[in-house]
Amino acid sequence: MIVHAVLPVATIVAVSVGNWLIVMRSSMISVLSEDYITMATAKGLSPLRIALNYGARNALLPVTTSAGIAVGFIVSGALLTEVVFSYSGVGYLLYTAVEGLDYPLIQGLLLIITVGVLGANLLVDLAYVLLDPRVRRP
Amino acid sequence: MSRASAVLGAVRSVARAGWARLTSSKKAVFGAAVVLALIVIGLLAPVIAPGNPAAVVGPQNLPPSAQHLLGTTGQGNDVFAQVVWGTRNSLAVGFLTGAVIAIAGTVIGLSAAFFGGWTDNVLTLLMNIFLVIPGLPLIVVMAAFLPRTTLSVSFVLAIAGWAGSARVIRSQALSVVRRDYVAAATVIGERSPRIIFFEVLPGLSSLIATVLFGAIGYGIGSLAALQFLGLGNLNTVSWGTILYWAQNNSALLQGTWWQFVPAGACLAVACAAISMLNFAIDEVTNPRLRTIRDRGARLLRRRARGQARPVRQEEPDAA
Repeated sequence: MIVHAVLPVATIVAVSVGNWLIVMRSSMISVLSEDYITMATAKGLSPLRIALNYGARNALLPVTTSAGIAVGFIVSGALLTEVVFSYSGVGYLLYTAVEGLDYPLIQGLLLIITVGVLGANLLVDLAYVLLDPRVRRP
Repeated sequence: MSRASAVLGAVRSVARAGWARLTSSKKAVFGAAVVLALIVIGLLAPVIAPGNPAAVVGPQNLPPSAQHLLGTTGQGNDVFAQVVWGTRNSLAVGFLTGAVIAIAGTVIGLSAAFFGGWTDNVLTLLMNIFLVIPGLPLIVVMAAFLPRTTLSVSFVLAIAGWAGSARVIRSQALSVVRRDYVAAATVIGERSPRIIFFEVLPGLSSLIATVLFGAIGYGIGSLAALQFLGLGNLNTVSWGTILYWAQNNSALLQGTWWQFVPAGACLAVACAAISMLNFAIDEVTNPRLRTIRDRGARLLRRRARGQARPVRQEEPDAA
């Protein structure tokens, strides 16, 4: 039920939004020192346009990468949140399996989690080629 | 003996160089003050709250009063005594885990960078495997099968957490290893351990400090998570076990907020203070980051003021 996901989602977002801020900030810092930002400044573009169209567009690339990986980790990483809210996801199931020492269930869940994380990593790597022309091989 | 003291001396000289800048940073002062205060509370636990914190001292679910400063738990224990003693145990395990992770990460990362080739390949493969494995499920599964003692919990946290610090240290060590003075040391015939510990390690001391504090924060947080799930050593009293018993007692439904708010607040404040200390160290010891940031901010500010002066007048520090 999507209604029951509101509070867990709000919790996860509140806890992890700071990390994203830091990643975006450091990525923005390094992009702002690029030559094309100087070029845009020299052309006399407005600061807002430089920040959004020239800076943020490129600074988003590393954030996209971690977003994809985070999707993989959410399959498992929401364990604590799921236990607190008794939300019947993979994390909660893993918790009950560990409590009851249900070996086959633990093995199956770890397999699903691993496939999720590895699959997300693969998809991110593929998507990065589409997003960033610089990593394409000529 | 002399080797250890020389390493300490090198670390101390680096620390002295950054000390003035660190003390001028509000983040660092705040973080250090909070961490020190928590350490003092932990060390003085027998003085502040004498007696066994797990002892039943009164009726259950008593709200805060003069006799029980933070009320009592669902088992009739004094919450204040539990939080004070919990500080002691949480910090002890956190620092132990942090030290183990920092040492393991440093040794593994340094050897990977220094020896290179085959050693580097194997160690990097190991790091990548442990980085991709999701941490919390691994910790939960391992903790369920190992004996539930404080040492084994620390061990589990270190196993799941060493890879990140090893990778950070490896990548930094790779650039240090290629510097001229390391080549010079090799040429004059110094042995590998001496080069690693005397030439390469001092250049990494600030990074190792960051890794250490990060690992301590990770240790404290993950220990609490593990014990909250009831997978730690429930015979000890720590912030995590306090939260576990509060949850067990359905404190939220009963509205007995004093059973979980103090421990949760301590946990949040401790982790925030350690992170602030880390940010401050990072800003002080990473001049490259600082100049780039200043330059970016300066650029936008200058544009906002409408000054049409050429932006990249090569500043002397931009080299």
